[in-house]
Amino acid sequence: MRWLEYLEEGLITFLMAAMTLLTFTQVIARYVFNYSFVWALELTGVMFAWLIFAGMSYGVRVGAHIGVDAAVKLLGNRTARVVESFAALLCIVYALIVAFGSYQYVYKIYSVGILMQDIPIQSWIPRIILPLGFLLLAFRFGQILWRLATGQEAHLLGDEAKEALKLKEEPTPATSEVRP
Amino acid sequence: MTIAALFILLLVFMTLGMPIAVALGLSSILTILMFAQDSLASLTLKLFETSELYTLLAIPFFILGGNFMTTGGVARRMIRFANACIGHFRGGLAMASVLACMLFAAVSGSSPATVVAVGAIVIAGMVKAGYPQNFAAGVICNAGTLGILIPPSIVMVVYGAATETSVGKLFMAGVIPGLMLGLMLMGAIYIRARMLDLPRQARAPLGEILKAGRDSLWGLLLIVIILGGIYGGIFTPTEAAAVAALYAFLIAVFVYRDIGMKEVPKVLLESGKVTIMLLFIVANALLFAHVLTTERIPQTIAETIIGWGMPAWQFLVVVNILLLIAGMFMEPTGIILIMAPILFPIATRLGIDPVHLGIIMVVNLEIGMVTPPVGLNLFVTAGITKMSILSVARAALPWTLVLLLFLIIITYVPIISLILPNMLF
Repeated sequence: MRWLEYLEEGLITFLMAAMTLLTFTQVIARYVFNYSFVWALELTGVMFAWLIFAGMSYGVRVGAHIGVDAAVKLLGNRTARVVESFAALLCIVYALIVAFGSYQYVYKIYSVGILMQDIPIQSWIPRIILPLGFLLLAFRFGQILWRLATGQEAHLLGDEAKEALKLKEEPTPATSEVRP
Repeated sequence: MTIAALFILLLVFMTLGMPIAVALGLSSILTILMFAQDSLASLTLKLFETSELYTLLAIPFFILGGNFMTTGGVARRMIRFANACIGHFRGGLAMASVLACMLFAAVSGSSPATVVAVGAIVIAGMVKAGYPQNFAAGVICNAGTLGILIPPSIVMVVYGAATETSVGKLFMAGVIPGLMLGLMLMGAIYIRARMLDLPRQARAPLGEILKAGRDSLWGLLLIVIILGGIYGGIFTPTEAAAVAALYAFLIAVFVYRDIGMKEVPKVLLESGKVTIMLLFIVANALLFAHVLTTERIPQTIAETIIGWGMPAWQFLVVVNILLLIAGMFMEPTGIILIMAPILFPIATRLGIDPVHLGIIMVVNLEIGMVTPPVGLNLFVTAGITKMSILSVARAALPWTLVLLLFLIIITYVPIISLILPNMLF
C-alpha cells in the first residue's frame, strides 16, 4: 500500500501548489498583460474537486477529520471500542451510499456525453473522482473498523489540539533574530 | 417529522463520535431518502458542486499563507515589536502579548496556531518576569481567539459561502471589533496588573521600536495586501488569498528564511490536509443546507418566531445562548455551517444585517474556544504550559468574562461592526 500513500501525498502537494500558482498567474495576467485565460477558472475548480474528494480518504488515514468525542471519552475502554466500531460501520455505509449514487451520476453524464464548459474534454472525466474517492473512503473506514475489531489502536477522529502543538516542537532557527 | 428526523439523526451520529462531515452527510442522505423525492445521483451532484463555489477556494489559499507565516520566527518578531511598543506599562508584558496575538492573528488566521506560536514564547517569559502562571495562561488562551475575528478569517469565509454574504465586507467588519477586543483585554490587564502590582519594563528606545517594526513589517504587509487588495477592488477575496499565499511563501523562504525550500512540500501537504478536513465538512454541510431549504425548515422556524412577535433583541439573546452552548461542544466551522442556514433567514426577516449576524456568530464561537468541555484553545494552552485542562479553564475564566461583555456590546451596538464595511463598500 506504500505506493498509494505516496500517490496521495504527492497528489495533494501538487494540487495545492498548482491551484495557488494558477490563480496567482491569472491575477498577474489580468493586471499586467491585460489577458485572461478562460479555462483557468474551470481547471482550478477541477483541481479543487480532486483535492477534496481524492483527499478525504487520506484525511481518514492520517486522522485529520474532526468531530465531537466528548461523549465517547466518558465511556469505559471496552464500551468506547464498541461504540467507535459502530460509528465506523455507519461511516462505511455513508461512503458506500455516496459511492453508489455518484456512480449513477457519473454514468448518466457519461452516456449523455456532455462536454466541459471551457476545456474540450468530456465532463465525466473530472467527476470520476467522486465514485473512486468515496470507494477509497469506504476502504479507509473499513481499515479503522478492522483495527478496532481486532483490538488494535485506531481512531475515527483526529486530535486538533495535538496537531496545533506540533508547531511548538519544531526547532526554530537560532539565527532568525539577527536577520533583517 | 422531517425536521425531527434530520436533527435527531445528526445529534446521534455526532454523539457516537463520527466525523462531523459524515454525520452531516449521512443524516441528510437518510432524511432525503425517507421523506423526499430526490435521487441519490442528484445528491452527489450537490456534493460535487462544493468545488465550484469560487468563494470557498479562498480557504486553501488562506491556510497555505497562514502556514508559511506560522513559524516561531514570525511570532518572535511580532512579540519583540509589541514589547517595544507597550512593554513599559504596568503589566506591559501581558499587554504586549495581547498585541502580539492581534498581529499574529492577522497573518495566521487561526486561533490555536496563535496560542501556540505566541503563547509558547510569552507565557514562559511572563512567568520568568514574575507574573503568576495562571495570569499568563489565561490571558493568552483568550487573546488567541482573536485569530478568527481579525481578518483574514477562515470562519468568515465559511459564513460568507454558507449565506452568500460578501467575504470582503465580513473581513472589514472584523477589523474594528478585533481592535476593540484587544484594547478591552489590555485594559483589563492594566487594572489587574495594578491590583497585583505586576512589574513593568524599561521603556524601549525609539530605535528599537523602529527596528523591531521594520523587522515585522514584511509579515504585516500580508494583511495590507489582503485588505487593501479587496477594498481597492483589485482582487476578489479568493484572488487576494492566492496572492497572499505566494507572498507569504516568498517572505518565509527568501526574506525571513524561517522555512527552507526543502520544507515547502511539507507545508503544502499540511495545508492540504487541513483544507481537505474543512472542505469535506463544507461539502456535506451544503447537502444538509439543501435538505433544510427543500423542506423549508428555516422558513417554518422563521414564521413561528415572527408569529410569536419576538423582537430582534430577544431573538439575538436566544441566538447568543444557543451559540454559546453549541460552542462548548463543537468547533467553529461546524457550528457556522449548521446554524447559519437556520439563523440567517430569520435574522433577515427581523431586519438584522447579515454582516452583523456574521460577526455576532464569530464572537460567540471565540468564546466557545475557551469554554469547557470542548475548547480548542484550552487544550492547546494546557499543552504548552503543562497545566491541567481544568486549571487552564479556571485561569481563562476571568478574561472570558471580558469576552462576554464584549459579545453583549457587539450584539447590541451593530454600528461597531458595520461602520467600516458600510463606509468602504
